[in-house]
Amino acid sequence: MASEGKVFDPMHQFEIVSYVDLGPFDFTNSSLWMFISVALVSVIIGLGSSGRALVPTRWQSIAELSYEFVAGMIRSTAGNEGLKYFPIIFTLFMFVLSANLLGMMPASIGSFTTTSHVAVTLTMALVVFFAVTILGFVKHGPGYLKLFVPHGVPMTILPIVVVIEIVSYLSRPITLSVRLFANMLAGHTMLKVLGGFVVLMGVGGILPLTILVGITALEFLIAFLQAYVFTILACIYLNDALHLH
Amino acid sequence: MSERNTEDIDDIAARLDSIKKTRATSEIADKRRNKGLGLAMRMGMDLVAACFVGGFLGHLMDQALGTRPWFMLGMFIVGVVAGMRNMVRSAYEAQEAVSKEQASKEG
Repeated sequence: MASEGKVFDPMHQFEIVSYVDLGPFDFTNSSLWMFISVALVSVIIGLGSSGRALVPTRWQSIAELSYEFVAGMIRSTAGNEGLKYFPIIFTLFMFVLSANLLGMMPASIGSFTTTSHVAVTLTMALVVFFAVTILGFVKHGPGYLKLFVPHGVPMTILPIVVVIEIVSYLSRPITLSVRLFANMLAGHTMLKVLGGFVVLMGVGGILPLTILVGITALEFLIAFLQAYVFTILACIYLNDALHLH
Repeated sequence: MSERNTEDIDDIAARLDSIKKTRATSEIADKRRNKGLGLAMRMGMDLVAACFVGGFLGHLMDQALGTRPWFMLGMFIVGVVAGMRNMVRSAYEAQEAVSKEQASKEG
């Protein structure tokens, strides 16, 4: 079964393998690649911000581009007050982006996509959710609950609207995490399935191979786009907490 | 000499302004393309997740109150409505952003 699974099992790449057993915790391939993406981001940003040249080097360009991209994103969605929370938003963006992109390396060299597991994405989404909720209550006190009571709603349907708003608020961490992990999972599975077709079809495998090239490019776009969507939604939630409408 | 300098500066300022304008419009177009894709990714998930969250909350209430399956059914419908509302709201927001942009372009 194991050897059969190795030949053609598109889900095999998502298997968690324990490297070191640390009592209640395990150091797995997922944790290893989390560490690698954190290290990669630290090195890139560290190298980029060490030069401080007026005419940036390549490293500095990367650091400046990502800084300005995230700063612009926060400014346009949450306003200038949101820039106070730049560190956490930037960390989220860089971590998700690097984890997604590292996952695009071929699995044959042991690459693992941490963001393809809901445990990882849900943890990040819950951190965002609780941070934003606590921030809202700190900023506005109990007045933050006004978020659930939209303006200009007739008294008769107000109870239903409040319930709807609460459900929609509680669905935030689910949408945030499921979107990211489902996109990564689906994309990587699709790549593997198409790769399997190439092997199975022999000479005719050129057709799926060409499709595969296009899909790989698409996956790179999705890797970036999902990091972007994750971050922009965090910014939007932050905006809701900072400015009650 | 000083006259020449101010002329130069005026010229440079005018040129900078024109460059800034073209850059600003291309940046806006860039942003909107990004946003469109992001919005597309967001909307479907918003709809589905709210349904599930509604149903799950109803299920929890049923378990606590022993009224299976009424709260689950009711809250599922509430979840569907919440999902629809999420979608409509983000569509309105996107529309507002577009019309604001157009107004600033015309005005």
